Amino acid sequence: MLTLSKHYTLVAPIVETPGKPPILSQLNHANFNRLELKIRPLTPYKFFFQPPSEELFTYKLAEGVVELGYEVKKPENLLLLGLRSCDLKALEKLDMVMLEEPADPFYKSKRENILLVSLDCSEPSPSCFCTEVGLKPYPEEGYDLNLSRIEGGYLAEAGSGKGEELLKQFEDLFAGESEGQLEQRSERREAVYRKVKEAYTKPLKDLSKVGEEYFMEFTKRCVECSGCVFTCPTCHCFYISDYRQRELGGRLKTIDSCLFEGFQRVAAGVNPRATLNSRLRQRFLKKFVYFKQRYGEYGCVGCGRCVEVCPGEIDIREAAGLI
Amino acid sequence: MSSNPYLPRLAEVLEVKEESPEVKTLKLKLKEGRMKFKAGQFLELTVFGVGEAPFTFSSSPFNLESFEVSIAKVGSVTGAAHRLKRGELVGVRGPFGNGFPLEEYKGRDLLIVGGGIGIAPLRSLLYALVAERSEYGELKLLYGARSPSLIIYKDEWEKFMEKDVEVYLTVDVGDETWRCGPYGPCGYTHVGVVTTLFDLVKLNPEKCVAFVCGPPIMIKFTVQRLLQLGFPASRIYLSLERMMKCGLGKCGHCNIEGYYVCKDGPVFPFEMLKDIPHPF
Repeated sequence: MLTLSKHYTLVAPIVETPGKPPILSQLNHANFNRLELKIRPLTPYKFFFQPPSEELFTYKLAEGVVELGYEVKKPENLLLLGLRSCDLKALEKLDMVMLEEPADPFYKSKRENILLVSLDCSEPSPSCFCTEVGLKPYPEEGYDLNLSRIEGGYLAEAGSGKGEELLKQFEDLFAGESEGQLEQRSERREAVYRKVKEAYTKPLKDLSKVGEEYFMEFTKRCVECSGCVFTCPTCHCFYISDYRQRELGGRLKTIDSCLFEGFQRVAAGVNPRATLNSRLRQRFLKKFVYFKQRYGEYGCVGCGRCVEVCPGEIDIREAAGLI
Repeated sequence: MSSNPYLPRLAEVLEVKEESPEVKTLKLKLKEGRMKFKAGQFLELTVFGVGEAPFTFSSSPFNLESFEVSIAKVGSVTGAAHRLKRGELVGVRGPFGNGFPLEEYKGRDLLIVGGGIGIAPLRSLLYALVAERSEYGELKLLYGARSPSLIIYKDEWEKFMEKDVEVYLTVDVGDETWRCGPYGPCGYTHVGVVTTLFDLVKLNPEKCVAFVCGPPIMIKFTVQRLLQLGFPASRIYLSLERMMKCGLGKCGHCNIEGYYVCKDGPVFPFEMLKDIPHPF
């Protein structure tokens, strides 16, 4: 990994506080020993594609003239390490929204240029439930390179042309597979799949059939912090606002949350989703009903991050009827 | 350079008309190209240095030389829009959304019900209808505002009447001008919320289509009344307001349950919304 980090800006799960889940940081010599490849990071990878704040265009105002300009930056040599099957699937779901015509060119450029090195899950978190939303805890597509932990090392598999190039570029780091390694990978994958799957016995509840009052017990515990939204790898909502300094100005796309009170407020103070219950209900239904209506898949990948960060112990699995 | 759907096109303010103490209509012209839109669609208007906000087109879709938006002053972007002068440049993105399904309803009677600034997209609709007046049956407009001074497009209603549109106006609270002012002789002396106008009109729900836009409470009672009269939910169309930020179905701000107002709307048949807890 250190060899790779000489050629790429390498972002990976790093344990910043001992005993706490890893978060995403740039890998370097100083934190290399805190690289954590077993537990999935609490930070979602989405911020590398949909940054918390991003400039859409700038303008320069002069007498009777407005000059508009923008730049779609191309990330150079950025490699994200440690994505799990859920993270890759989440990016596919973000693609459905952000690349739907007309595509967001800022997002698109990042998707086309950032390298993704994923991992099989070896130690799923107790909050993981990917199997219940149709995923497997090991990547099947969407990666450039996937690493599967086996006895004594990792089995690397390229999933794209860029992944093949990566294998070639660093060929002295990789050896050919030896006998039994693929079988070992299959066994490990199956074992982790069963571990996650067997934690759940109840099917997903059809949330389109429950009344608004169903969500009240969760609403009572919600403090509107939006930790769930910001750690969710599929939450994509954003705000658009302007800044200006004298004759120069610009427009920003910034991270937003549908749980915020003012998210839908319109002119004259009218607020179609004024109650917290209506906003929380919208979020749960977006994941399990509306996203599916629109794009044919659940909007949730079962990563369990929202379960881990919620100070009100609101558990999306409970809302979805799984526990 | 890849194309950027967030980037506005420049347009020049040709004219600013004060419609009421709260509403101004801006007549705009693109610096390059023409704005082709359908009645009921919306645009995103940028006042440079302040921000961007969604407005429905209020002018005739058949006029390709310029287009208009009518803006009620309620916040920062609308306040800045009210300060715009002729010759200034603004940004526009759009048109966005679906518009009113006029092709489907040729030959039918149409009932148009507007409240407050909700009359803006309906004015565009009316211009579209009278441009092909013979294609439609009876056209009736019910329009209410809070007070006589807030009735907008004041000099246009008689012109619509000349084009065989039955126009009924009302105000929540009347005053001297309402009793004996310019509207008196025309018979516009009605006082009461817009649904009280239903008592004055003869409707044939069997062949009539309703188009409604206004504040949420007005939409709610208008829909109730239309259903009582026997209008099927599939022939009641509502133009809804949400804070459409991107207009592209990405930012999430305008969703109503699983619908995006910016893509699936802003015009919805009530049929699509009737099972939703709080659609307005």
